[in-house]
Amino acid sequence: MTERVRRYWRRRNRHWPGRGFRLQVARRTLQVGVLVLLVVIPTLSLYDNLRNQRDEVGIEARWDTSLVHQLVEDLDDPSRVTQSVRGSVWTLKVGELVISDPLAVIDFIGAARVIFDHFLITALIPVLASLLLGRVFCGWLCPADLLFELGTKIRGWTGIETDVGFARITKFAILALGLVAGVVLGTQIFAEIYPPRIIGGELYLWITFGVVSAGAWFFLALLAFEIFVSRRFWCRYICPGGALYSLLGRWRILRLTLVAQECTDCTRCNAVCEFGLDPMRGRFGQECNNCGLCVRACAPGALVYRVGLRPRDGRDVLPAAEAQVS
Amino acid sequence: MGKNRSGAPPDGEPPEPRSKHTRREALKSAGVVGALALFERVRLGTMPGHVDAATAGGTRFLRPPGAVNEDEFTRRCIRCHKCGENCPNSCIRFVGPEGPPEARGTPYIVPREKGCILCMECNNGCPSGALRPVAERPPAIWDVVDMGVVELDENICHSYQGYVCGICIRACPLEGVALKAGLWEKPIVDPDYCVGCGLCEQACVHMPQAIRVRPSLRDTGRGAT
Repeated sequence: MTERVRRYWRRRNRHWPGRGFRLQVARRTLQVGVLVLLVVIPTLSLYDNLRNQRDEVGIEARWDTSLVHQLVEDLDDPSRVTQSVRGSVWTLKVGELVISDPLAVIDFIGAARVIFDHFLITALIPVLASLLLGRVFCGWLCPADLLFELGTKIRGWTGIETDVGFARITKFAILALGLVAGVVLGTQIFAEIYPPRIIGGELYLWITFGVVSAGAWFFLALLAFEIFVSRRFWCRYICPGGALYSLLGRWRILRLTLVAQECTDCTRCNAVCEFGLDPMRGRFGQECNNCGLCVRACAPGALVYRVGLRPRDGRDVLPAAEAQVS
Repeated sequence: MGKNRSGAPPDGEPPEPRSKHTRREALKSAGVVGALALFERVRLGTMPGHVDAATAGGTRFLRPPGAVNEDEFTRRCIRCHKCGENCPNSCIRFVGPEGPPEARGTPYIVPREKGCILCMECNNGCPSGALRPVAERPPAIWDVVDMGVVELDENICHSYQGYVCGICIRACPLEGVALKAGLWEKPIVDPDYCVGCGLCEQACVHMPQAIRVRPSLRDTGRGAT
């Protein structure tokens, strides 16, 4: 029995569930958790607001039968739960703590042409996390990444091979151009094209008002383009947020590293890398989001997480002396 | 071996780390940047350059209380929807794709459907200072809040036409200050104290409403910062 399961896993280009597998379970749990949170927050807020209006005609029946009401009605102070968290991944408020996407702050500074320290400081936690851990928001929290990875899965299931490549530097150009355009035009450029904000915003609009905005169609078009034309098009080439996190994560401390003498040159890691990087040669660059898909794919266990500084030549290979040979 | 699902080269030959077609890729990328710029151009329409953003589209929005002046508001609002989530009165809506480009995704209030109860919850949630925090007490409210000012159409107002009504005066949160009762419940607006919450417009029994909020642009006067 076990041997059959093992063979199944091997056939799917994955080694037997080990550390890499558990890492993916943790990552998926986090990503799905964020997506669920984006549904839960507007639901809680809708319930809380309807509860505040329960004196109004017809409102009572609506909030009284809600699922949230069944869950919180027995609590001493339901509003402590229902008002505890607000916002989305663009800017989130948990209790008194406000966390904002650094891209939101950059976009704001460009359009408003002011440095507003109360807002600036809310991006501190994501910036520090990116400096230490790299582009982890992209791989571990971003709800759009989860759906784009589903797109990659669909490509695999349907056997779509078309993959139009673009230059990775495009996203840095878009970040810079968008910032300039924001300053010149005095409007926020990224807010309406940034997929994680689109998902959060559209879910809010849909749950609260029952409508979706233009962003929903933009995102679906993007997903279709990724499935049929270019694999992981947005995150690899376009995303200004990804560009920002890449710049912040260039000197990250948590680094995926290739242990050269363990590697069997099987190329599986390169095949599974969502961003089309080159883990087999230790070329993770600044774009690696530490998602660990290559760790799971590596049968001999030659890819490990390491805490250390950026190698001078940018190639995360151990030991460094053998890097020249491999 | 299973079939290679990800488009990587077969075993043995490791893939090239960098594409050989860098010039072609650069051209394609330039095309993408151009397409995105075109998309943004279409999305934003003819940008007025924010000289007079609030009037450029001929649309004025009644902003939540504590909003900074209209031009600065559209630049400061990060479209996070938190004010709408915080509004216990559910009166805050958001400008949809049909709205003027610089205002899309920003919050506004339709007073005829639901006026603002001036609870100031929306201001507390705003992270980017588009809505300033305001104390939920009368001096602070009429010192800072300037959503708009109501305009009364005496030609259709019941009280001015001989039918004693006074609904709007009862609905006003600043009753006796912003909206005073004259002879036979005739409403008298004091523009110095009216903050434009719109509860009178919501309450007006005449159809169409005899009392309307005219949204402020906050170019001058109180509330301008």
